[in-house]
Amino acid sequence: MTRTLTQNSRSRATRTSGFTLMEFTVAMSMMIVIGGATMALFQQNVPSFNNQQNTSGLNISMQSAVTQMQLDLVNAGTGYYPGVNIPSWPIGVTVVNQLPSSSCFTPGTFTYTSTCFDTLNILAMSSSVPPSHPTDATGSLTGCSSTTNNSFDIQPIAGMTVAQTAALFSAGNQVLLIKGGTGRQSLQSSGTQMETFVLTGSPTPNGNYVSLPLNPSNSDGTNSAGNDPLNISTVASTVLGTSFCGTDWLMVISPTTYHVDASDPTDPKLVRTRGGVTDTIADEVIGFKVLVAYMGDTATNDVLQYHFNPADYGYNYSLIRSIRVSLIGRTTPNPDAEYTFRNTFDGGPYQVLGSTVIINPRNLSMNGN
Amino acid sequence: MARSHTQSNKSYARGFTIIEVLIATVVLIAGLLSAAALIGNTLGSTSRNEYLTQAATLASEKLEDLDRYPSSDPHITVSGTTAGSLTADTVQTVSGIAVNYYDEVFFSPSQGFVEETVSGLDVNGNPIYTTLTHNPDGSIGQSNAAPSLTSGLFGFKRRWLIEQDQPIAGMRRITVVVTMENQSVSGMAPFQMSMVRP
Repeated sequence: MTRTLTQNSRSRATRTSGFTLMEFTVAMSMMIVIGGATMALFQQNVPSFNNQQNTSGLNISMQSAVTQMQLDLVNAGTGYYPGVNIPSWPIGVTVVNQLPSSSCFTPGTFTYTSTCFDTLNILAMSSSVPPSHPTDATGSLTGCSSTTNNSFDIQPIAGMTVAQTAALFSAGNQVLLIKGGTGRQSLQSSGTQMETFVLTGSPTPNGNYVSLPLNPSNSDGTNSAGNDPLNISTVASTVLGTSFCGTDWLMVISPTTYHVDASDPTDPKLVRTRGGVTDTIADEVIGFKVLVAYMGDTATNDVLQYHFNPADYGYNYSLIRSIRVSLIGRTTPNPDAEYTFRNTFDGGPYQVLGSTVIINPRNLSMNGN
Repeated sequence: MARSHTQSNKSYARGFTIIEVLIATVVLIAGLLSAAALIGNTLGSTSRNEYLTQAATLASEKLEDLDRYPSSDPHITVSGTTAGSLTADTVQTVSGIAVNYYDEVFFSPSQGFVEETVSGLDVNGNPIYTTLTHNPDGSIGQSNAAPSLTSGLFGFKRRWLIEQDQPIAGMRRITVVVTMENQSVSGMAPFQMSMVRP
């Protein structure tokens, strides 16, 4: 009995003792092998996971930017004549299409300069400055003023004094002049001519009219980019004019501009400027093109009637009826020498994603035109 | 007592039987296969969602495009009650212009719309293609070569139907259906969207 108890004690001792050195060594070896394999597998998937995360982020960034542009573009051309008789032809969009003759992209550093990218100007009329009419130096209701002079005269806005009218304008305002229709108060536009200028100083009340200071335009109505940052009249066009009279209209433009800020060529940014405030809409933008479809395009075999050269429509931006925006973004370039992926767009070590959207501004297709 | 302890020790030291090992292996494999199938389904579902988003974007884009035409333009003119079809590729010559009521859009699955091809037919019924390629220097290349789905492109077909005096007299209802053409993608339902315009 005693012996039996002793055997049992030994048995328990054996059962409750720890691993032998051999067992421990084998277990550790297996754990190292399995753990190592697991870690290798995990590490293999880390770049793939990061890549997926970056691509998803890029996709969201592109979609957000495109959606913001959609919201602005669909309302292009608003505010011309609140309430009544919206003209059929208002200008709502101008585009600065870059047609690069030399490369703006440096393959070695994957950097971009601003000449790679278009600029999109979305025009709306200011809701805080009602439309007014031109006049001459006597304040006549039928008098005319010319943009080839140093000042442009306007009548007081209906229901306002000369001083109140002058107080609505300020230096830096860009105004749009358009030919009126039949009758001074008809609130219709013939759309035959337009012109623009930027106020170079504060307006001056002059008896029964207001003088707006400006840099004179050329005799064909064209202006330098400095005098017309919205690109309405920088190239000669059949719709530009210089003389506007009492039946015509003058309005202050409230623009929204999209362009790519490439001041840091390693990270070009799509920015939106409105009311003097500039916001970054998307980082790492490497492509921004704006194409347009225009009224009266006679192409019959072109299944994609969107143009990227304004010469196609004679720089007459009032013909624009639909806009096709293409945006190309990239993930942050990966400087790791072991990162071997190269995209087929520009050969850079990053993912690239292109998005397009077509927007038909509702105000630019009125009256069936 | 001693015998009993001895039997107990033998039983304790005994390993798994082959049946136990087989059952455990089968259960383990079944579990792993289920997990793999779940992951596969999730990935497939994610891809289908992506394709469906593309289809929705293309449908919306086509409707926006058709909304830009004046009401008298041949592209949206209806002689009779309807123009176009949602089930067949249709082309009609209206006022001397080949009006396509369908097109195909091809683009890269990995890089999106960096390069995009749109196809249709000309007045003589010959296929025409317009491919826009965005280049890093900001220029746009344009070619008229036919693309190939075997080159790894995504292909979507859009068909549209214009109904006169729908839903009320004087209005036109335009419906676009987008279907994916890549045979390798299964389970993709067509995407349909409509709008009403004068």
